[in-house]
Amino acid sequence: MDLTLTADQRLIRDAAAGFLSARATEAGTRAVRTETSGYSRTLWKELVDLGWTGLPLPASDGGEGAGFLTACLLLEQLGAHQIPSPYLPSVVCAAFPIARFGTPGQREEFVGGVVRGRVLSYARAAPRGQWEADASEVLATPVPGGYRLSGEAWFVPYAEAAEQLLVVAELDGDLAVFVADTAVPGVHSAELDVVGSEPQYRVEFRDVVVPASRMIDGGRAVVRLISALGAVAACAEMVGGAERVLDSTVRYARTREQFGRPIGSFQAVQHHCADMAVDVLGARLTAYEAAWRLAEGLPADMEVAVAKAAVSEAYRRVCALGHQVHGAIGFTYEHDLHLYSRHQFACSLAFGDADAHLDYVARALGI
Amino acid sequence: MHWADSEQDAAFRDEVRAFVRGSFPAGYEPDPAGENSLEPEDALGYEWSADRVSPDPVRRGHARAWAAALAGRGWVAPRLPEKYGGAGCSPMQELILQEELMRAGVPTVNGIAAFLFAPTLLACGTEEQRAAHLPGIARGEVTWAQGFSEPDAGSDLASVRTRAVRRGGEYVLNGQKVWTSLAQYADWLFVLVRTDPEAPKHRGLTMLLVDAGSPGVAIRPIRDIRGAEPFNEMFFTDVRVPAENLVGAENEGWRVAMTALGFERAGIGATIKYERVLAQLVEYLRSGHAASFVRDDVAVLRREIAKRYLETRVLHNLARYSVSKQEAGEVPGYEASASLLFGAELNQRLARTGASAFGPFANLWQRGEAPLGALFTHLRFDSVAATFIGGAAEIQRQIIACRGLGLPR
Repeated sequence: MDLTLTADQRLIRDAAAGFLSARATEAGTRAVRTETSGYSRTLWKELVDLGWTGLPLPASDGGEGAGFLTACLLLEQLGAHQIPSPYLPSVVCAAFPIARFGTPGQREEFVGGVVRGRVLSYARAAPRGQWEADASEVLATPVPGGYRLSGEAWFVPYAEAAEQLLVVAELDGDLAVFVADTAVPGVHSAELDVVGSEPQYRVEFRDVVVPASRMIDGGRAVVRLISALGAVAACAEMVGGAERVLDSTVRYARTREQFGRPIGSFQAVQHHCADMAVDVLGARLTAYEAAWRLAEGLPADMEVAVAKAAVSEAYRRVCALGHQVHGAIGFTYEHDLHLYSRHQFACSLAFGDADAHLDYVARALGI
Repeated sequence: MHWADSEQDAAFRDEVRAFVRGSFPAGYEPDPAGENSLEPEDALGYEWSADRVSPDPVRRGHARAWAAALAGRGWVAPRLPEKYGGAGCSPMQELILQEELMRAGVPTVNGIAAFLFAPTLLACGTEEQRAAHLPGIARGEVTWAQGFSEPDAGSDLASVRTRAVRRGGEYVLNGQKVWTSLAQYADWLFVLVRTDPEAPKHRGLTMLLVDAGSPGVAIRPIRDIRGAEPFNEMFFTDVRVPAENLVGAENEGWRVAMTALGFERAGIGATIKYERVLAQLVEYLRSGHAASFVRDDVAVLRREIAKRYLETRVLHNLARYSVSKQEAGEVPGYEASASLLFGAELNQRLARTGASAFGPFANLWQRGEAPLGALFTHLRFDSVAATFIGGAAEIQRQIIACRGLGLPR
């Protein structure tokens, strides 16, 4: 057991942090507000050229095989620098599950595609947004040569930019996962005005026909894997964000003066900062414990639920205390703090909120 | 980053498990009537220091046999070099040893001496002092207590007033200490005293080793809110201490005291203890007993238990991270304080959650007939001390803020 970063992991983290901090002005949340896609395509191309998409994916699919934990190191930096990108839906929600469950043809096309920079996304279509529900609001009906999808999915990230969507649909009372092209007739997406900086859409499927070769075998198991990977990837982003909020709050407390002294010399403020630091450290370790278990292929349901609930709540407390220490300046549009509290709000809701995961923990304990 | 034991560590873990199965004295049971030790590293139901000198010859025999068995492996003070009776364990091996002893629910032996004092003496003592004192500690035959706090020196430890005056080859000690854990069972004391009252308060302090049997030492147990006597007041009246019992240099006792406080455990044993206690609660709720004693409205309880479970997992990571950093040779940051602080507050939440399961039956202090032997009701009152024993939570937060995050004083 060694809960410190290896030399390689440190190298990846530092390189990612250095690169993103140099690009934050042109590719950060504020800069991409005017982009219709919701992210910087220039930056995405750079990430792909640097090998970010391929780095964690299996070597047999054209990646470098560094694994899921490495993807989390990169996502942590995207969260820290508040740089929107379709990395999470493409690499984590699409490529990893297809690499695991897909046919050789599907892997070649989609995992290889993501390695080369193709954008994919994920439409869970969970009834009333309940990620853990064993149902979907999209129905699949067999037709000659394939399936017909109808229904709608809320909160689909990057749907405009994605070439394909992994769609979870109900098929004969079971769940099935299809890869649907977004350019075919019948796919309609409408952008939602949401709190977070990740662009999200409501996607409607009106009798969309998907060839049989586009179904990913495995049904519920695929959905469970996507939910687990997605939840932990969101945790990694949140850890990066929380760390940034702590750093910026400590920096502010050191320099902001009242009563002739830095406010960071007052115990009440010091104790807020100490509580934030404990939360950030606990969140980081708990997120990476789940990431490590998933990367190793170990049973991880409990660790994933613990991480998503713990990290969401820790990040919420960190943002709340960050706002308290910053005071009015942190409530302005001009200050970056609200980007993080929006990020916290949105990430906490994605892939099941803390309540949903705590309920899983209670059930898993048998109470 | 990885959470699995290395092959060597897994083998060590197996070795410890087999050792406990084979060597723990049969019949050395938790004391059903006793209050719990307040030392976070002690297993529930045992107070080894008291058992070692118990008036009951059977219990005394068990306690000593267990100490001898551990000592035979060098596992009373596992990280001490073998020449002093330790096993030269790495920080990770020590963690595994503590985890497995706590999982087995068997008592830690000579905790204050082995885990606080011994590493301090190893770091700050002379070779003669180490050779004189460490082997007795490692054998579990000589116990120690830490004489730091005074009536007017609690969180502000540097204002201690107990006075030591050098006269020829010895110091003469006068003053009072208080809240000294387990001093009534201790053979020796390490005492922070003032040797230069004119110097700034941190620069006039000295650490002395005092034989608890010296003339002029009076130790009186103090009764706590539970009716137990986990701590003491100590009076020193013209106590003569040989000058060679000075640790470090005269007037440099603050550094030695800080070294000792730095060895306050990150709390791996406490982590396992909380996991076990929570598991007992869950098992009870799932059992047939629950029908008679558990409240009907369990929606809130269920959620609180899930949170406590989550928090034990977070604490486990904080405690292990602290050891990982030591093992990797990295500079220690605020992770030990984070672990202690989080653990202490979790201890209190856990006790409240557990007690809340039983509605009015939580009011039973008596062990007999009470659900889970009134475990959580007793924990509820044990844990009142958790956020100030060994350093107030406010001081831990200040350490994190100032030393860890670099906020100005």
